[in-house]
Amino acid sequence: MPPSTARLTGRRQSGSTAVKIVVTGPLAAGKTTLIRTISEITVLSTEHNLTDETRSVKAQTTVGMDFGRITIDRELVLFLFGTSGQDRFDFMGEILGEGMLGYVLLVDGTQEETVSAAVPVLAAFRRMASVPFVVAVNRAGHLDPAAEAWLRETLDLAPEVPVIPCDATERSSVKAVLLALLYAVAGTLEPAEAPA
Amino acid sequence: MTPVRLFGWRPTRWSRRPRGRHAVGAPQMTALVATIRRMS
Repeated sequence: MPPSTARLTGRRQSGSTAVKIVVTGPLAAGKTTLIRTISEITVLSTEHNLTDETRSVKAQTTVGMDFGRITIDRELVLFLFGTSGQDRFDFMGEILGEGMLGYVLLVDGTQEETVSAAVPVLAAFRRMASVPFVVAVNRAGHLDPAAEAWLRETLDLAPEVPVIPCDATERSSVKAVLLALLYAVAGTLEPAEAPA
Repeated sequence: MTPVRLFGWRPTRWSRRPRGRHAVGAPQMTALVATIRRMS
């Protein structure tokens, strides 16, 4: 396959096709944990000690990106990219978002301020690409209707955008988030393309 | 001469890539969903 075509389809030199999902969200939402929980490889992470005022939130943070992988079959591989929660690495979102199938916006259900902090993150991703996304609410066993309504209003979500309570440390919970995103992506395929 | 020309800058393969998702069809989506479902 000529290199120019390979770039358009995400086809790799090994012959397999790579598809990409990005996990984004504000600082300390649990993005790195979510990718570590589901990745089949040891996650390539760029965590570094925090030195600014956000030290009170957590000790270490992602300073570039996280990278995980799930092999689907011999011809298809799913890459999971996690963005940094720090504003100074906003530019990485644009780089990591190129060619993505869709993205997961992760917020912390125990920290209301992470929802308002997610507003500019979501705005940047919406500007970048018109692809399906889901909102995952970490550390939330369940979402009561009032809390979900508030979150939807704050993030200005359309009714069809899934909002899923999750636990980023639980594999089954992370699976549910990824499946919700994949169903959303499948729903955007042309009828002739959609899975049976 | 602009700095861009001075240093012979050309668009990188990343900056030339189209925005939006890579082409996936029903077979890939079915495989993705089935694999994630099967994960223990």
